[in-house]
Amino acid sequence: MSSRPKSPEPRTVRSFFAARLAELRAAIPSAKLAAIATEDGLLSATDTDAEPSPLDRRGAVLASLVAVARTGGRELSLGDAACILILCTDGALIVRPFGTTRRRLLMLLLADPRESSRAVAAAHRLALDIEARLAPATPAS
Amino acid sequence: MNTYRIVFAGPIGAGKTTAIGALSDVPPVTTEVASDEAVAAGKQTTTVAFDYGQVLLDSGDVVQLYGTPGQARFDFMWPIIADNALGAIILADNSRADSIALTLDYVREFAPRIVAGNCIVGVGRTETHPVPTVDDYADALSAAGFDLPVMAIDARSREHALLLLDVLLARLEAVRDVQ
Repeated sequence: MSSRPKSPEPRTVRSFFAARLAELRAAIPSAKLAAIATEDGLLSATDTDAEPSPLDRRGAVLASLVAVARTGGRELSLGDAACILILCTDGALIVRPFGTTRRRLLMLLLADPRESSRAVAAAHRLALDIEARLAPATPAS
Repeated sequence: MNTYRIVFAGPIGAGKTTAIGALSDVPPVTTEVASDEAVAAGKQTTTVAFDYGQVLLDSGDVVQLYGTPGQARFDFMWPIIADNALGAIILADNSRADSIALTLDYVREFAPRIVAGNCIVGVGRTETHPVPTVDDYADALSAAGFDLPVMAIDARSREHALLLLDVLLARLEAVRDVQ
């Protein structure tokens, strides 16, 4: 029902993301997948692929999850959703929204939910690092 | 008190979120985010999970309004929202060259999910794009086996959205009378 959109990020940014996601996955032994998507659900990069299909439905699922979490946070007066952790029978899903000028979603899939705390911390550090690298340079005063 | 669940469906930019906002008697819940696709469709944001609003009828009944994300990559949300709903309002954007074909796609997708296939089509932007006409939509739907009401609407108008809802609820009553 819709035409294939072009990739949501420039090639250099996608390559940067893929390299950093590979580092993240390597740091968490049970990590199965690390990926970044745009806030509107277009997949930008994974730890193994700087050229994924933007329409990969995993990106859309992330966007919906985060939107529902944000709505829940607002409705319950908890503020914005800073991180989502879903513990499943066969693993865990971590989603870390980040970015101020442009919102993005960092996803980490784990085979072992016992690594969740460590993975949340690693995802948080990576999000902050990417945010700092992509932030527009401020002119020196 | 009865509760009716009505679904709004259609492509990005057709006016689903706008129509629910115009209709709802409570502040609507939205899941809109910034989107380059939305910009291409002439707006700033797009729905990525659902919209929600409510209309309170004089009888005390409540009509729950659920909006679906328009892009096909969010199709996993469609059954969650639409399965066994009592009616669907399919919105079309007449400024799109492929609007009739796209409308047929959405009707084919949603009609089987809705009780008794109770759908209605609202065609937007006819004031700036008068062709195809409402009759063209009705003919195409009929040829595809869907005998559905089709109306020109402005999704921003509460009056127009209420008219769509009235027709949909009247059809629902007719179906119930037959059953």
